[in-house]
Amino acid sequence: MEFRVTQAMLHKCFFVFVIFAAVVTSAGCGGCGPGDRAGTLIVGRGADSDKLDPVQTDSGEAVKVMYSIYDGLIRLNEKDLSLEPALATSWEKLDDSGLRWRFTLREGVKFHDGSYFNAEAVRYNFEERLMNADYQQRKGLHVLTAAQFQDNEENILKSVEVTGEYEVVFTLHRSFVPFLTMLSGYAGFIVSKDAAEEHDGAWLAQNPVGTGPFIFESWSPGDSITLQANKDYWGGAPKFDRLIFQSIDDNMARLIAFENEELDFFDGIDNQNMPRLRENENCQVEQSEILAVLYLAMNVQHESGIFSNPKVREAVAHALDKPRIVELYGGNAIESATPLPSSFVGFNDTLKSHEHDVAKAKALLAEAGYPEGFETTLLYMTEPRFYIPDPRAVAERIRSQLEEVGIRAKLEANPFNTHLPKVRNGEHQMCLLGWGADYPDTDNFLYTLFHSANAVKGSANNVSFISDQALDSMLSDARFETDVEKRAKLYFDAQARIHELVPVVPLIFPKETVAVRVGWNGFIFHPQVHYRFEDLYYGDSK
Amino acid sequence: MLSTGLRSKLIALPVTLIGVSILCFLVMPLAAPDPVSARSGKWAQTEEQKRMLVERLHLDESLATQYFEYMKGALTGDFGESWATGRDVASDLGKCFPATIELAVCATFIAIILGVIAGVLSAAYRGGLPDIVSMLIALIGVSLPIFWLAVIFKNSFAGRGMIGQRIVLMLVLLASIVLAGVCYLEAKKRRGRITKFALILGSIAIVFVGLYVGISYQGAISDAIGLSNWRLPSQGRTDIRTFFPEGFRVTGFLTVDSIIAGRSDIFFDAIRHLILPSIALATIPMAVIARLTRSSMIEVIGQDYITSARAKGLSRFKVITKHALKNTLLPVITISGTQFGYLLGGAVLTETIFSWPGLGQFTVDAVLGSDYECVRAGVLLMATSFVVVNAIVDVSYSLVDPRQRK
Repeated sequence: MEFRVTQAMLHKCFFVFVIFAAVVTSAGCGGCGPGDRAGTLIVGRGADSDKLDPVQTDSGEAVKVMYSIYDGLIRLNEKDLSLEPALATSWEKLDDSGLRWRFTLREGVKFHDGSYFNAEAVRYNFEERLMNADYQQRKGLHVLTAAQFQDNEENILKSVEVTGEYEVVFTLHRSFVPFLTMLSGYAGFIVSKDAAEEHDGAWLAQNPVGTGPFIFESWSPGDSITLQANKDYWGGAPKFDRLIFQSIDDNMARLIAFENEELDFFDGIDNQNMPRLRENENCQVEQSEILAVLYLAMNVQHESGIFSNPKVREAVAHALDKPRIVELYGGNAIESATPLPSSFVGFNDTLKSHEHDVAKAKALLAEAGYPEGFETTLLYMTEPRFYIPDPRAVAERIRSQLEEVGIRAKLEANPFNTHLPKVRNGEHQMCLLGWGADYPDTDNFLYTLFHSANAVKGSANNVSFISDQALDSMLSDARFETDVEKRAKLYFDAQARIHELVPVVPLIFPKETVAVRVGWNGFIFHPQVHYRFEDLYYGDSK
Repeated sequence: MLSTGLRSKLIALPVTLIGVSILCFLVMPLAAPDPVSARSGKWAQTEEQKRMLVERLHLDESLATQYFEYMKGALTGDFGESWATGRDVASDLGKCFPATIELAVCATFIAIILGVIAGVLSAAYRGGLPDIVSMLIALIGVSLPIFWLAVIFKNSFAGRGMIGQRIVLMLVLLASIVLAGVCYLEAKKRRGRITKFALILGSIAIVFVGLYVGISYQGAISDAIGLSNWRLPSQGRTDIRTFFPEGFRVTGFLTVDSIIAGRSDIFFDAIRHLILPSIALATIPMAVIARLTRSSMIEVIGQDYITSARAKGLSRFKVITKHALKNTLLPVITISGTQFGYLLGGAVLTETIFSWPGLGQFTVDAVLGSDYECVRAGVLLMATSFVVVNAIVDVSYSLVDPRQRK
């Protein structure tokens, strides 16, 4: 059948086109004016928070938001990780052993529900909410963070007494210096007593009431959380009105949303998108080391007995060419000579990585009785972790570097939830593993990763299973040494000892990258990736 | 009066639904054999807490009892509470399902309009250029992975000034194609071989020149005519800064609620946010509808009544629109309904890429977070809506087509 375009048809087409054009025009023209840019900060991230009650969650995405809503007694300086006053203005030891600590509290601070912050609120938060099982059951509180005040599954906190309207005394079961750092974490955030008394755990998880710089306004599940500025904040009111956390699952989608002016700040940036971001003139890329490390561990207690010989371990250290491993991170990492990130107390800056020297490695192997090298296995994880975006590439590179000195490593990859139990059970000869700080204290790195108390098969964090008396005593002493200088010296020496023993070869300190829209100033990188958005301001409005 | 076929289909409906619900229910016992420890997170719970949880979830009873308890709740709108957030699953679903429906309706609408136009055109010009072009587009539409298409869409349309540039590019291309078409038609008329060759070559050249001009000068032209500030959002349902007054949410559909509240700003903002995801989502159904419309139209055109209509002296346009189209659309209604059903449950990828806070994204988040109570409810809702939409399509088909009623 033949078909011809008629006059009427053309008219109709034209009419439809005009309507379509009108709709597109009206839709395209809309959009936000630049006027509200300064008033709202929109933070893009990969997932929504689960609960916003500091004792009921340990999810990173919840913690990110809670840092804007709550305060603890102490907070951490983001630059040197020193302890700063927050809701407590000062604190002191009441006895030499460091078992009792008195905190003087800030006066005149109000919770977001209008009630006053005082010593009773502090006691209530620790003694009832965190430690009292009956209370938790009555309130339907699923407490996840109590373990943050535990050491080897024993409670550190014994009691919290109210000794004045603005004074509390914490009593510990045993002396433990990292206790103060633990208090600065989110598990030590103070929730309004009035709100917690009135409501149950489920309500609190969805309606946070703290003393922080931003007040919870609304939550659209799976999509966004909106906070508004706390004009009465004790640390000074934020310079903008609203802070919105928006979840955009896909990394690429988040990048496009930023380019499209729908976000002012975001994290979770893929390496391959870095050039694209750096080209964007509206974007400041901020990058900094975080408190984490990637290392190659050698199991000194493995039945093969190969790695119990320190010469072999040293040979491995000389066989590795670290700069070529760092390359794989595309600029998002730096080489590490010690397992302790540089911002920690006692970081030993005199240590250098064992230099890459094939001849020396071969000589050491010959001395150890392996002139022809040996066969071994290297375990690694299949999926990326925050300290290793491409585990296979790193493992392959290590394998080829070891091969040059005659060590023939067979690679074995497992999903992380299989890899970790295997390694903690000591089933590996060599493995790749990383560590990120639970609480930013040196103890959480060195004691956890190298003390023989943590080398128990099945639950080991010391996955090289090294057990050295001198090292053990330094790491144990440091836990109870309240003198900052002496404590730093102990950790300084402990790293030197680790360097000598080479139970692990530290490889990488990863970096975290965030993008901030040009115009927003005042951003300070926090090595634990908990940002203080209240410090930001738009333009020169400081 | 319902036909036997339809009646048996409707009788099968509850059976299908029960089967679906059993499958969805089994997600949990299969994926998380020990929900108590899965729910407690990393840290151990006291025995008392565990016991209470077991009691609340009826875990000490047989699987069948658990299923009946679950369905009893589900039928009264109680889907339990989320493992991750502790929130009522039903209230979360109440927020995200309207978002999915709104997107699916919009996408189906676009798919039907464009699909039918393309199908009719290609049937009317069977074997001609419009046929080849629209069927090629349909083939591409069916074959393109939607996640890829969605990313391409965002990369080329979202961003300040991007949409203006693309409109300019498309207009320039359209103009050059029309010009080339005219040139080609002219070439067909001419006798001289060399003239013919030159004109055909010219028409090809015009397309390339159009492409070149369009790509190189789209920015400059869109700036010149003032389109450089147009911007299409890349994600979400509205500008996130939008403050919704108390009582704004009535239906959960932003477009409808904004009209009820008399907020034209929110209405247009919602439309703007719908454009990219719904077009991306519409590609596959559009292609399916276009192909079906084409074949159905070709079949109808071949029938006697069309020939007699033509013999009466009606114009071809009238014959197609007034006589053939109605009968062509019968199968199209069915397929559109089925596609709508797919979209309700299958917009997982599009929703994730466009951060559309709908059922798909809700379910993906739940799967990633091992929140099986939410997974179960999300999948159950998806499956149920698909089954129900299909049943509605069956019924409506019989209402539209008298032959189906006995």
